[in-house]
Amino acid sequence: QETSEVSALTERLQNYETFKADFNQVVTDSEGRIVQESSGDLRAKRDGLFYWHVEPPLEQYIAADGEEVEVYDPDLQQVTIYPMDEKLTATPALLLSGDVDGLQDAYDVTRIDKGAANPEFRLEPKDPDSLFLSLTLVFGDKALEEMRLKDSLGQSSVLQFSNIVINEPIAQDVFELEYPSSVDVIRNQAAP
Amino acid sequence: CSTRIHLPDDTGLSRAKPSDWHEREKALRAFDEWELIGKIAVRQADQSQSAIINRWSQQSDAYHLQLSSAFLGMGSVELMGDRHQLLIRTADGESYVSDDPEALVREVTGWRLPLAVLPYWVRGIPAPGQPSALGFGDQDTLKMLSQAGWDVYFERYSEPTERRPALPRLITATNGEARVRLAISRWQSQ
Repeated sequence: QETSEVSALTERLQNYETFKADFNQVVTDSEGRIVQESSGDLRAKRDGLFYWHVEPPLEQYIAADGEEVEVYDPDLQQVTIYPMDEKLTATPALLLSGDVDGLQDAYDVTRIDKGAANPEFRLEPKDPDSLFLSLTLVFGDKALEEMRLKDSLGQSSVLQFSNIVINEPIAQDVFELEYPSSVDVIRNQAAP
Repeated sequence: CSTRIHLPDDTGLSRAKPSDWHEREKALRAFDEWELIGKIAVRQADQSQSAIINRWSQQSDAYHLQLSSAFLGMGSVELMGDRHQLLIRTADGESYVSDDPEALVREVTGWRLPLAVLPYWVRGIPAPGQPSALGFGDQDTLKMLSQAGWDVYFERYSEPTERRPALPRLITATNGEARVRLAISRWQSQ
């Protein structure tokens, strides 16, 4: 039975038929020291279509077409293809493109803002060996503005969105990566 | 004499050491306090895993690698060790220690990583005290070396600076079905 909090969140996420934004990602360790910082842009479209590009120096492209996830790393000159499985759909970025109805099967959802205008939801994965302990979604006036992840070591990753555009058509070929024929293409059975 | 190590024959590289090679090797061996940022991909048969190297700091033969998943930026793994022992801390907070570093890495991560010699190869030199074969290409750059059962290809180098000779930016090491690829996006001396 879907709690009111889950339905409040599901309803908001379901409004996004497509989601496009620039992002800045900062990963800090348990003492708050910055471990890694990157920026880039992402696009998501319902039923599993997802595109993500991190700018150099740690450049990376990710594209998902609903069945497979392709990760192209220009520095490593390598493309790794993973099957799309539940472990992957539980990743935060894929929340924007995945099927939202099954949210409460994958997460325990609680609303943590004190009735502020813009809600904040905390999602705790039910799968014990998920890569993170909690994921907080922070909504702004227009749309989802921030995703905060925490892992069991106290490390956190904060993904902040800007230039957010919702429900604008996105061409299909955005979700198909292009890369030189010289790169190695590796098909992995298991998710990362 | 030490066992003769041979380069694979089709490399078209010259075995003759350039006149300044010993000097360059000496300078790179002396460069043993540094940090780098980059990525590592490890492949066995048809399975590949890659990780971001948030920081690899080296102090003579002591190394400290902080890796995180290339997919989420989370899930950090740390390797702290030297020639004699290694500590690994994995994303779930578990710690493992051993005096056989390479066996421990293989057991904990499934990766084949030649940790004892990698800190030299990453600088573009063979590890001292073990036989090796070197292959030089145009402008006398070291294009390849064979050592400890691995063939190591130096595919890209950074520009030399007044303080430092050119350093590798892309390295691929193969050993049978195992392959390690290192992309270095930034070098920093400490």
